Amino acid sequence: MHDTFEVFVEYGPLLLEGLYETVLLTLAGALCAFMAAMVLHAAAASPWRPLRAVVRLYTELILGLPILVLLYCIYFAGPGFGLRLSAVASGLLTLTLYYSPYMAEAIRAAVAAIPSGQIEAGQTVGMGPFAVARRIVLPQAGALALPALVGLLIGLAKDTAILSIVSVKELSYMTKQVVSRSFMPFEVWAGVALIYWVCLSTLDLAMRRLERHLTRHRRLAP
Amino acid sequence: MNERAAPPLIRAEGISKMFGDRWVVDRVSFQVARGEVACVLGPSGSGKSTMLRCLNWLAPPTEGAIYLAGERLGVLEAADGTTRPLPAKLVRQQRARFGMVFQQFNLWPHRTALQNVMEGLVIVRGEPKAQARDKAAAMLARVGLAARQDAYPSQLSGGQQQRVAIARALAMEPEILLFDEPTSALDPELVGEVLAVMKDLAERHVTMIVVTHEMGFAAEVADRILFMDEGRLVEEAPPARFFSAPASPRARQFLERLLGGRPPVA
Repeated sequence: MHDTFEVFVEYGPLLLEGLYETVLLTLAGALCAFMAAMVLHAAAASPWRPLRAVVRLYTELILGLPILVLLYCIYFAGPGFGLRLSAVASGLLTLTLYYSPYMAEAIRAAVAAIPSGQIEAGQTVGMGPFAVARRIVLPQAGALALPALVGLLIGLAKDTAILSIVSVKELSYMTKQVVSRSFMPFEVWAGVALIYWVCLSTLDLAMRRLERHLTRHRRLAP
Repeated sequence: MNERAAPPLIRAEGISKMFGDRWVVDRVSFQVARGEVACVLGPSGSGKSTMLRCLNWLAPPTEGAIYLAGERLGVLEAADGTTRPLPAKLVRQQRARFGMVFQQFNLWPHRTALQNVMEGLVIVRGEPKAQARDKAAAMLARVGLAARQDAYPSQLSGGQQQRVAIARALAMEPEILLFDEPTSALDPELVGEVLAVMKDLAERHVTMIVVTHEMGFAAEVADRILFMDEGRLVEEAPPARFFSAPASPRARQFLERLLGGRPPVA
């Protein structure tokens, strides 16, 4: 029997490996989901009706599925439809499919909050749609969408743990391995819980500061 | 100013705008000469603002033609008389020849007063930042806001915000300035400072079309009054005649209700 300290010294490298994988999955998943969300957002505003209908159908489908079921569908049912993906690829696809509609909604709400008069003011000085998006909509909508997007990012980071079910070697999967070798479930899980908590709280704090920085013009005294 | 001597800077020929199944602007024709100030009056809902937005193609007219310094706006006219919509890029270039000041100011809240004024110079004109900054500072000084150039819109009063908006429009060196009820969203005590800036522009012979409910300003500054009702241009007259002896019953009624029969105090 080890004591608590020794178990983390001995299995630390394994847990770090898992943490590294978790961070990678979070970053890659968030990036893919965000890009998919931008595509969804653009498609939802398309003048072409069938495309809008597809986006709506997709969104409603995803909103009605638990992420675990989505993962199982992709990993276990996917091969039946000719979709053979590695565990990591299935996991990334799951995170992307699951989080993109929520992110698209956060983007839509933020963009809709920019008064149309500001956009007209841009057009009036001669800006085109690209300049309006880059100089007027994006800086403000980005700050507006940030709290919702950070919430989703943290949710996504936590949901990477679900991927351990299909043997993605992220932090929770590695923890299970360490527990089965060390026979110290309480100490190991408590330690790993602390790791998750510290990482996610730090992320949350950093994003809050970023948000405050981006919206500083709203808090100035007259 | 005598409009027969100078060719018109802007000419509207039978412009109409339909929203849904309603003609909001109905066959409006007029001309404004260079250096002239035209005030558009009329009851709310008479299509004044929409007519103004037709001019710079923010709301492209459903019918009719608009010419700025002789150039047809928004439409390409082929030699054989057929027309087609102008490419978006050229529409933007034409639109930039107008300056526009809005009722709600529409400053960009994430940029300072100076940055609001610089924005078009840097982003649309591609001017170097230092040069744009100097120009913007000069424009802010011209509207009396040199001291507040680093303030964000939320730190400025409504009157100051509107003056920044005027500076922003002026910085682009427009051929004509459009004002869409520039003082209607202001507290009464702040109206004067904005009107003073506009009066100053009129004295410098900046061409302006002003949609307004400020009868005193219209009486004092306008070279011509355009009176609209139910989308139609009902009456067009010099202010002296319009306010003392309006020709149309509609205008008489409008002035009666607004001023109770007294002439407007400038």
